[in-house]
Amino acid sequence: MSFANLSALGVVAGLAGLAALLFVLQQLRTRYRDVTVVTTLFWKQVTHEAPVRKLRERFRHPLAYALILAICSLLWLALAEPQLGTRPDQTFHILVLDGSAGMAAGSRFEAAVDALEARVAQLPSDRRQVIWSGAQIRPLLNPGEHALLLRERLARMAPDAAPASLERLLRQLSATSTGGTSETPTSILVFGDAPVRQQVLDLVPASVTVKRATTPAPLVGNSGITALGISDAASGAWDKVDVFVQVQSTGDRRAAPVVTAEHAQSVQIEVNGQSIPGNAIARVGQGVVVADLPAEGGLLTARIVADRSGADSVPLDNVASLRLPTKPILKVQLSTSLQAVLGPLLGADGGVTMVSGQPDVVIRRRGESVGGNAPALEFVPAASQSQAFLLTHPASLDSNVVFTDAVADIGLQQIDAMSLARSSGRPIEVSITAGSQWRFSVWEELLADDFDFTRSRAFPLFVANAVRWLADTEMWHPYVAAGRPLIASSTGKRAEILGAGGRALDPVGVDFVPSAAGELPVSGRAAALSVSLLDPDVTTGARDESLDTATRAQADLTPATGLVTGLLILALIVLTAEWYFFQMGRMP
Amino acid sequence: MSPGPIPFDTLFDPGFLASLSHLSITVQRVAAGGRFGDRLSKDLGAGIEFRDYRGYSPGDDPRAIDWNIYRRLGKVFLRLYEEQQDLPLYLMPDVSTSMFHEPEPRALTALRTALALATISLSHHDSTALFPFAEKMEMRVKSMSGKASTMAFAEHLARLSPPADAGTNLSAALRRLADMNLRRGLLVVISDFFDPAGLDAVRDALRSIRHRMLFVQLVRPSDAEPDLDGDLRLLDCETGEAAQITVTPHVMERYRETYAQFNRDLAALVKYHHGGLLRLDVEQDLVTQLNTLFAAGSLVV
Repeated sequence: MSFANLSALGVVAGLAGLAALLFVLQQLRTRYRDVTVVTTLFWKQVTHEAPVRKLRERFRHPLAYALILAICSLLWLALAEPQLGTRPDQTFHILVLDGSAGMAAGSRFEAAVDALEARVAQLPSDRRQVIWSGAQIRPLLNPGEHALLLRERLARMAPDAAPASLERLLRQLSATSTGGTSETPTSILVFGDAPVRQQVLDLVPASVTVKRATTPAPLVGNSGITALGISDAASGAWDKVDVFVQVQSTGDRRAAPVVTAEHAQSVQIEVNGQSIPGNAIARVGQGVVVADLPAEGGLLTARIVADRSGADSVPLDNVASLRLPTKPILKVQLSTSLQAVLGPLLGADGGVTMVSGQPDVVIRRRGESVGGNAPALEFVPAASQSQAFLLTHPASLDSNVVFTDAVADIGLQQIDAMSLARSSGRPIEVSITAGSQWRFSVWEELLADDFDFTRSRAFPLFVANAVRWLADTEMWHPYVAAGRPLIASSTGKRAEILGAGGRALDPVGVDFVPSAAGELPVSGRAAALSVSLLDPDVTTGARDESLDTATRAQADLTPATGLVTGLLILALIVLTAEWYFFQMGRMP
Repeated sequence: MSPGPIPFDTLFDPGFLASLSHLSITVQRVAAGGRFGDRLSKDLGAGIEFRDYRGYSPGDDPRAIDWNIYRRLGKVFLRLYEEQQDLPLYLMPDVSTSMFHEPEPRALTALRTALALATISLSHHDSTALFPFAEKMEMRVKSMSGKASTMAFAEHLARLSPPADAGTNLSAALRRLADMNLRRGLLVVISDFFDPAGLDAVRDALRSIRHRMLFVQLVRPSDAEPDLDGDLRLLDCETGEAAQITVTPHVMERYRETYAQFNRDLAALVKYHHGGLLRLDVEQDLVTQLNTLFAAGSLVV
């Protein structure tokens, strides 16, 4: 015999504890109510009263003790759910409920939940765990927890607008199993349609079996947006971007995008709620392109609009959004002494306009008064500055952070420092200091013909990046998809993704991966990033044959319901006996 | 703190006394040696009703010689007459704390019963004594007779109250009474008989009593069927002793059996001593109960 909810030791310990507790309670002195009577002559003959003022009384009611102990023991055993069957093995069962966007199709999620609950009811509670595999991977029901908790927790859950995370889960479980010393066989049963590649299954240890609870039904009648991205405008306009949208349908991952009126669905693209006219949308390859959208930070939304007959299976992939970048034309004032060297270069930069006053950035030699207090790219004599490149930032900022960002943003690592060092006869160093304003000081000797710096291919990029770094332009994201690392443009001020409480979720050096579609607050910006599903597997109903489907699950153990019911009935009988004895006056 | 005496007005009700005027107590034969009264005594002498003859013995009263017989037979015989003597009534009301404890104290019924019996006795010119008892017996009235003494006797009763921490010791009271060597009469004990020493002690004490006896037991329904429930610590109002009980149907059944056995033992004890036992319910009207008991107008002891 075994027990579903408690170990055998726990059952025995519980019974012993109950017996001891009830014994002590039986011996505790009753709290009597004082009543004054004319005589106690007859009562003394009736009862053998215990001595007064004693904590303990003699054991007066063995029958009552026996009955209450029997009742409590039966209830305790019922709670432990004894199992009469013998276990075929000691397999630990991990039941994975797929909570990805694909489960939102039709009644897939509800069917999976029903199958999961049925399976949980068959398994001993100490040898099963239920894990949610959606945007987050987290336990739904831990070993030992009662199955009723699962129903309560599932009642408030629905598939997340996120790609399947089953492979990630399997990798984690595989890593855990590999690192452990336990050889306990483990069965992973997947309730859902999340695809798994064979190479992921190959990582699973031999003691772990992975199966799917049911054969996934093919997804039909679904179209969705599988890509939404932006890039610099092909026209060369600095302050505009091009947008690419890809739409796919079920059963054919290579299908041409459906954007024409004769298809079941059509695509609407809008910016800040204002639709882009159809004639501005061009069909290109596997997608559609909208060219030269103003890069003014608007919210770009692509939406699939179903016609009257088109029932869409998965609604979560019908809309995708992306925050457009903010790319203003920078006003640069250039001193006349540098006009010959840098004038043509800046004139060719579409993101820059030359001004004679109130600049965003000024380029000058040290000592020149042009540009006032604007952030400055200054060329200084090498004799006055030991470092070839010196960054100056406001004192309120952290030098380390600024330095790290600046090296990447300006692209200093792409400069051939060795060549410059050979030409100058001095080491080429980069340093940073705190000051009153943004400034980037560079040896003016580097502009001389003796150096190849101005003729190198890195120089225009160096100047353009330096100007943008000084102007503090914002970094932007070409696409933001759930489940994929957040990619940012190569230049611009980096913004941190904020979580609850304003805590940064993407510390330096770690690629942030949005878990689900939605919005991501970012530091220093009023508008949040918009994350979209953009998962071809979900939209096309990708299927895999890697996972075997579990045969009709045979109960590992004899269902305990009957035994529990019997115990409860027995407890009721004993309770009735106690009532009878009480009525007969055999018990207090 | 001991309860005080029952107010005179509560105890001495003229209407109550009037309702008892037709009742009487009849003793089959009064012991010899008393005063002249309404009862037939065992003395043969100074009465007016002829009963028998007997031969003369030296020392006999010569006035009793029947001279007519002497003339006819030449032998001396004495005429013997029934002598009318009084019936000494010794009232022993229980004045222990238990008699005064409850909201409607048993003492009220006890003293009214005593007053009723005393009134009857006094109206028949019987000698009436009052010996209240608790832990000890005291002599309040040694002898009183005549209808005119009724008020005085009632005042004696009205002044009765339990002594401080008065328990019940009936056996000691009976022994004290026996030691007083009173003329044989009718001893009336009015009590709840809740003597901690039990009836065995009373039984021993009764062996020294030469009087006819009438026990008046004061009961109430809650004696047989206490309204108690739960876990209780019962405190004896007289001794202060505690008895811890858990009232269950079984315990109640055993209590009822014990109480019934007590009543049976008391009745057997009284019967063994050729006495009478009146059981009065203190929650019922006393006059009605007495009328029932004195159904023929007379209570024969």
